Amino acid sequence: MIRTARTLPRARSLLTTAAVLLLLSAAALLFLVPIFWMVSTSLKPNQHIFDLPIRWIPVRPLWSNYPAAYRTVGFTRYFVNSAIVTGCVTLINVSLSALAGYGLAKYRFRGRQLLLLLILATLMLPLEVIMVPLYLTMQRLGWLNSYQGMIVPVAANALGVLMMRQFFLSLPDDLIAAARIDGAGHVATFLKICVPLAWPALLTAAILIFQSTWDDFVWPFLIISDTSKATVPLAVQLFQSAETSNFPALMAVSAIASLPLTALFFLFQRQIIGGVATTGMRQ
Amino acid sequence: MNGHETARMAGGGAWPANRRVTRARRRGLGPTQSWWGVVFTLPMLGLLVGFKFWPMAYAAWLSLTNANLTERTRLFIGGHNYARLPRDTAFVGALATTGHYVAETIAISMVLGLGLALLLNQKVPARGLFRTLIFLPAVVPIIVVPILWQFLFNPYGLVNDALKSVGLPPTNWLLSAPGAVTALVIATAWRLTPLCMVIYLAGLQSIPAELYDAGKVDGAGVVRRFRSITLPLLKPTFLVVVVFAITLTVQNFVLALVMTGGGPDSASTTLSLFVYQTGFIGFRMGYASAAAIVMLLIIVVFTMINLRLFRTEE
Repeated sequence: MIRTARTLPRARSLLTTAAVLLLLSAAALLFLVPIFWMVSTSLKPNQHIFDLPIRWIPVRPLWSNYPAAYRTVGFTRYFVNSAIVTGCVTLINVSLSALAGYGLAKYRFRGRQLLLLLILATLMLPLEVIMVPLYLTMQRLGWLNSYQGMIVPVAANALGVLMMRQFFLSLPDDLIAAARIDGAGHVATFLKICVPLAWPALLTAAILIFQSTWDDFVWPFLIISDTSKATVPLAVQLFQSAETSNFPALMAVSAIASLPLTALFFLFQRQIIGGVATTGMRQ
Repeated sequence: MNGHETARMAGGGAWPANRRVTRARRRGLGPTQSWWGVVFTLPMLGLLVGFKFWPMAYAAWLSLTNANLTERTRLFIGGHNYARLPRDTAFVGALATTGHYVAETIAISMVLGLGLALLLNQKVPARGLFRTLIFLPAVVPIIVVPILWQFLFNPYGLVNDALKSVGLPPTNWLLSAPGAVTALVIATAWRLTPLCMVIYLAGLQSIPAELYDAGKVDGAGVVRRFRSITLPLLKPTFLVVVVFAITLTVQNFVLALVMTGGGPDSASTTLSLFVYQTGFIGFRMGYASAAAIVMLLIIVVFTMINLRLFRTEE
């Protein structure tokens, strides 16, 4: 009697677990097939990519497709460009975001709410809405085809401010008051007391900014016509428009271009997924 | 800044510090009152003014002119650009395409994303692994997405192979008008669903488990618990997902640009692609700005509607 009452729910929960796992496996398969197919195709000779029946794993993988694709595109140059642009944007954005987030979280002044609202409102403004005037501004400044043109406008992003403000709000006011009583100035309190405590938040902000900047295609596409200054996404698109039907090469180039962000994801999975989950929550 | 405040800020001495503390106590330990807050905010504010607010104002001004990339002179023409938009079949077409594209993409991503989040919220082994695997499409660089899907939607590609294997006729996806938009929807949903999923998951995990236990004790079944506990408590999360997804799909034109080029015959030209083509290929900066302002209005209006619809009781 007692035994059946206990085993029944257990059997049922085992069944639900199996069903959930089955559905999850199906979903994972569905979402991963395109990526798997990209890698699989990148290892085939061009004349065999549409062979039927489908060959999921190539018989003799053509590893040489990868060095060939790397050389044809000349990836090194673009990786360096992307690293320069992304590094500068991340550094500028995170430091200014930390300053602004601290100012908005730890001080009260007239008009603070309005200022915060204005800054956060820029998050609703997509680049696509202002790309025309922003392009004309770059033209006026002589920043077309330049690194600063790819760096400075992109560093103007309020996402980091939001995240840093959120962190500094959680920092007890007593801590800052104590530092001030000990005679530390406003800047010293920020640099010596608050920044060292903020590094997890700074890291998260840096990872998210790094990821979105590295991934950005539209802005470099609009202002860079000199290919020696192109970033990785731009180089991939240039290669695609030149080699539209060389699919193994295209897939190899795509896979190489996907590597840095994939590595970043596996290194900082917690921050990236957590970042998406919380920055979606702007309100 | 007045003298009183300067004295307070310079104050390393006991008296001003003391006073600050008592005042803070009275207000429930609030932050310090000082213009230093503005000083800290100023550098970022400067950047935002230069590269967000100024371009926004500039866009509003350009939309009232006949600005052209190739001509120096710009004439103020009032609301002429806006008056022309509704009579421009290309613009109206782009508006309709955007409507289809955004509605279908969001419907798929939101339903699938919620389903996946509910599955991942169950206590099953290896759910962390599944979350990682299903999130991977969101990690693929945005420029790779259209290149990859262009290959999958090739007449001899994997999608048509799949159709044939279940007995459906293959389609020439990217070269037929309805096929091109559907292809864009599928490619976008592939990348958007995992993002929606993790936002939902965060929302689901913030629902206290005790509520479900209480529901069980009261004899509520799975469906009842979902309807009476999960759905109402997930309302703020729905809002976040909708706003996030709308903004992302309305603005994005990389997929359309690279996958279909807006074709065939501008059948898959979305609003943002229309803005790009008008401004940067047709050089009509003024007209493109008017369309861009309309795009912004659409985003703002939908955000407001969502805020209204999903506003929580408190």
